[in-house]
Amino acid sequence: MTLLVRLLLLVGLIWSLPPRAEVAHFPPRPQAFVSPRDISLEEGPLTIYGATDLDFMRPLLEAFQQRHPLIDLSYHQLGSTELYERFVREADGGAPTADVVLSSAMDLQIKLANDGYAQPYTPPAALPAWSRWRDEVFGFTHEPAVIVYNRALVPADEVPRSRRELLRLLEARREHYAGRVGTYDPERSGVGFLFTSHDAELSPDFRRLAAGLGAAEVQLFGSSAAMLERVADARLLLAYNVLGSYAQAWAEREPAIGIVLPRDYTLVMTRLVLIPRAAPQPRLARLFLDFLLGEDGQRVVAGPAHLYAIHPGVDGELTARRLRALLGPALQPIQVNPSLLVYLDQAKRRRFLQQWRQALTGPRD
Amino acid sequence: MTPSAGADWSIRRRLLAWLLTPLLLVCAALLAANYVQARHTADLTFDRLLTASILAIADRVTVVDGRIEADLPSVALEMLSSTSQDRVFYRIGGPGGAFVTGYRDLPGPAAAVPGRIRFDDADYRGEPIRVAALARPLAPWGLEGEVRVLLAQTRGERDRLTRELVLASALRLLVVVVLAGLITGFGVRAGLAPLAGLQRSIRSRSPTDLSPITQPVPREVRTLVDAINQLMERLQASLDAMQRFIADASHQLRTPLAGLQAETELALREHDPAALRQALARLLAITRRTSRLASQLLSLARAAPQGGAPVLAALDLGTLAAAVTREAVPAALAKDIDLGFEGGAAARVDGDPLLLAELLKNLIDNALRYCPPQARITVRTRASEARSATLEVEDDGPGIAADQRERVLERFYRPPGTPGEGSGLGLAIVREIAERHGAVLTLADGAGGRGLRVRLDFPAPSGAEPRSAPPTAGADR
Amino acid sequence: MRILLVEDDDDLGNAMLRALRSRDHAVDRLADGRLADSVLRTEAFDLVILDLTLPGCDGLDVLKRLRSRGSRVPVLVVTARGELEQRIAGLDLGADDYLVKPFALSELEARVRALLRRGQGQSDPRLVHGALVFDTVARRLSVAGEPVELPRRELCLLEVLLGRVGQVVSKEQIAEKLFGFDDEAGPNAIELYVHRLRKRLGSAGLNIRTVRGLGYLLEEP
Repeated sequence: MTLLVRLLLLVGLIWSLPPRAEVAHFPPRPQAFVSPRDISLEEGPLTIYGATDLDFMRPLLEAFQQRHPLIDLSYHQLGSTELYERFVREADGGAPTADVVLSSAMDLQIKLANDGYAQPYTPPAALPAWSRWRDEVFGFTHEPAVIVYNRALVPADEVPRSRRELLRLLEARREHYAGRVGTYDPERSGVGFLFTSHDAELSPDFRRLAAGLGAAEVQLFGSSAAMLERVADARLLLAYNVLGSYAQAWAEREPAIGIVLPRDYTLVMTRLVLIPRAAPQPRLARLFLDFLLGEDGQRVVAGPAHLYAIHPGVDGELTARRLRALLGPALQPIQVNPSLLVYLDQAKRRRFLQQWRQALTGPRD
Repeated sequence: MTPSAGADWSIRRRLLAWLLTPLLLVCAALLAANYVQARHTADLTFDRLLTASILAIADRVTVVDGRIEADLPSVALEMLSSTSQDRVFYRIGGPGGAFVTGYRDLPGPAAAVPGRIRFDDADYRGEPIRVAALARPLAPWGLEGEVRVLLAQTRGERDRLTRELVLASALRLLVVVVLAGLITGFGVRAGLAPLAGLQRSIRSRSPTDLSPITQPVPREVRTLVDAINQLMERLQASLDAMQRFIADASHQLRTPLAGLQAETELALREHDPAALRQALARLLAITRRTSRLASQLLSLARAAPQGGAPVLAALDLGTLAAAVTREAVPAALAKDIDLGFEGGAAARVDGDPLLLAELLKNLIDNALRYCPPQARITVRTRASEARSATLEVEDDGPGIAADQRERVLERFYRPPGTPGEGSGLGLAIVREIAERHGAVLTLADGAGGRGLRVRLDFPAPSGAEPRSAPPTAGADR
Repeated sequence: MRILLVEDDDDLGNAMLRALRSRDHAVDRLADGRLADSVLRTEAFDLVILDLTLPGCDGLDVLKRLRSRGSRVPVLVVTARGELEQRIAGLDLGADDYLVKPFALSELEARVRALLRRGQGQSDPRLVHGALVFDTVARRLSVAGEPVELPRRELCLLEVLLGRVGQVVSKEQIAEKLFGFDDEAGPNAIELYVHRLRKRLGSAGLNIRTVRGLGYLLEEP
């Protein structure tokens, strides 16, 4: 690897860093008026490390605190890698650390469990088998990877319903879409890497699709929000592999945003939550997971949090149940198990990204 | 489980203890063997997965620009994790222990033979793990040495499978043990059924029925039943004897009582003071005879076997005989009879001292009764060569005719023409007590063919201890 | 002499009472064991005649309590049971003599006489035998009031025989008294002393019988 590439990578990394680590404090509210029916008088400090935007988490945390008004709740929003490193440093060093760790970086969460940092927990509901591992890591969302387009600029008959249609559209209208298609940059985004690597394994047309995207001068982004912003303001016509939860949240504000769940298969990722073995307040942590994975919490996940509920008993637009009804076997959840570990292997990662870059710039035929 | 520790244990409990204890031991051994086997089976099963995975990983190891690179196939780890919830660790190393990727500190089998997968058990991050190791030579890439792949998973699923297998076999063994217990219980009940029948038949007997038990019983119980039958026989004999005795006694007591009554009535009719005095004297004589008869009957009852062997203790016949004789001396003097004793050396016998005293008393009494004044009675004890003891009472009185000697030993028999007021029980008592001691009773002429010599030869004492006194120094003095 | 008769059978009891009173004894009769026990606690007697089968309290218990109080009054046990074992038990508990029912009244009188004499010996040092009087303290003998001198050993022999009138005394018993432990003497020596005693006192009514193989017996006067 040349020095230039390394520099570029470093720059990219810095650019893709999420905003500075942010702490949201939810102090106990003993005076809060709540229906005594729902109230639970558990108290104490509860610390959560999360790699999910506070915007999404806030409804969940507030709903939780509503039920447990005496809990002094802190949510530390961190980048997924930063979260991992900080947590491991604290846990190994015996420093006080989080009671709950939740992150969309499934591979890192699995690694924490595999390396023995998580403690067992019994969830309150029967969650899908693929979404949990070892009774230590649990998926609490069910978020599809979607295609987003600008309703105004992409005519209804052109909207691609599958990857093959997308490829055909890019080939057929290369000039029109050139430079106005976006997707995740797997080098900068963990979620992007997750989606791209799974595409590489699942899609028989992956190389052609990559080549097609490369030919359409695809723009690479570090986050879903960046792509959605550009589709909304028509700088992009179309974005591939956008997080469905973000897309839904945007679509509710921006009528220009159109969402397609690919019919050939729709990747589903889930945010993983675990209770560290070193949790100072494991009892409160279990209380939080009881809420988060239970029906009440999952309703908040599907509702104000816009994160797609995974609970099979919760119905609504943003639920696994609805997606299953819509797509059936085309749903391809990313399995929560140690096979995710392979992508943490730097050699493997390097190799994959190299292949990806080659495919993008690929044989321009 | 020492049956001697519980002599009162039921047969069922004994059998259960004898059967179940070894059975449980065998089951425990089987279970231990099963555990080893199950663990082996679990390892075999899961080692296959490890084999497939490690081969898949090893196949993807290449050398790029002289550096070892591994393109880990996700399917390799998925294979391990899809069926189990076990943690997975791997390590790829180069020649000379160089670290390429994975878990740097993962332990593994020291040296793997190239091409052969080796398995080992180890501990990693506080959990027991199973490690597979595979070495591939780097020669195809023109490099020295070999690449070493370690793949490990925690033992959770293996242990679970082992537990399941062991639990299943434990359940089967438990069924066997429970069945064995039940079968033994029922078997014992069935086996003891003849005893219950025996019990019923004995219980339903009338208290006077002492006939032998003829009911067929198992061989093991036969000896017990035989013993019971023998006891019944003895009981019957003793009961017969007692009834005979009661009949005899009531008859023998009634006769003098009738005499007493008649004499008393006659005495009441008497007005002459001299005749009245004579009548009273007769009354006194009859009364004396009656009371002597009563006490002799009691002695006889006491001497008669009460069922069971008498309790005999070692004693010195000489000492006992001397004491009894001494007591009788005043009575002998009153009749002007010379009563003497000969003996000295210890004459040991096994005997009941009270009964033996009674025996001798009766013999002396008899002699005093039938001998005239100036007669000479000698009580004699000897210890013979065979260490058995002899007791003799010899007198120079009228003696007993030879043809009467057998009969006088019978109860209430008195030779015809015998004077005095004897009851005919004295010698019967002697015979009874002699029999109880296994002594031989002989009636013979006294010295010089005059009078009577009663001789009792006692068997040697069972203790057979050597005589403490020196041999017969002056025994025949 | 004051005698307590404990006998529950009225026929026998009254007969015994009459017989003993005819011999000028002061006799009280009780028929209850417990009553006898309480009377014996307070009153003094010269002799107790005790039946073993009693209502209220067994005769053996009465005897046991009497002896446990330290009383040394002579006790004659009279029993209808005739059990030899009970004789042994009574001996152990401190009875002085036994009489088995039925018995001749003359036998009872003789035993009573003997026991009273023995009890007297404790207070009265004189042994009286017909015309013979022997003072055991002064060790003086007199016949019909006339003092008689005897050698020491003969006096000793006489004392032994006088102490057991009507009973056989073995040569061993005599030798023990006469010679002590150190002074060896054969049986012939005793025969010699007996012979001398007979010669000297035969005329005074002293009748010593030789009992073959058993010893000697001083007949009742």
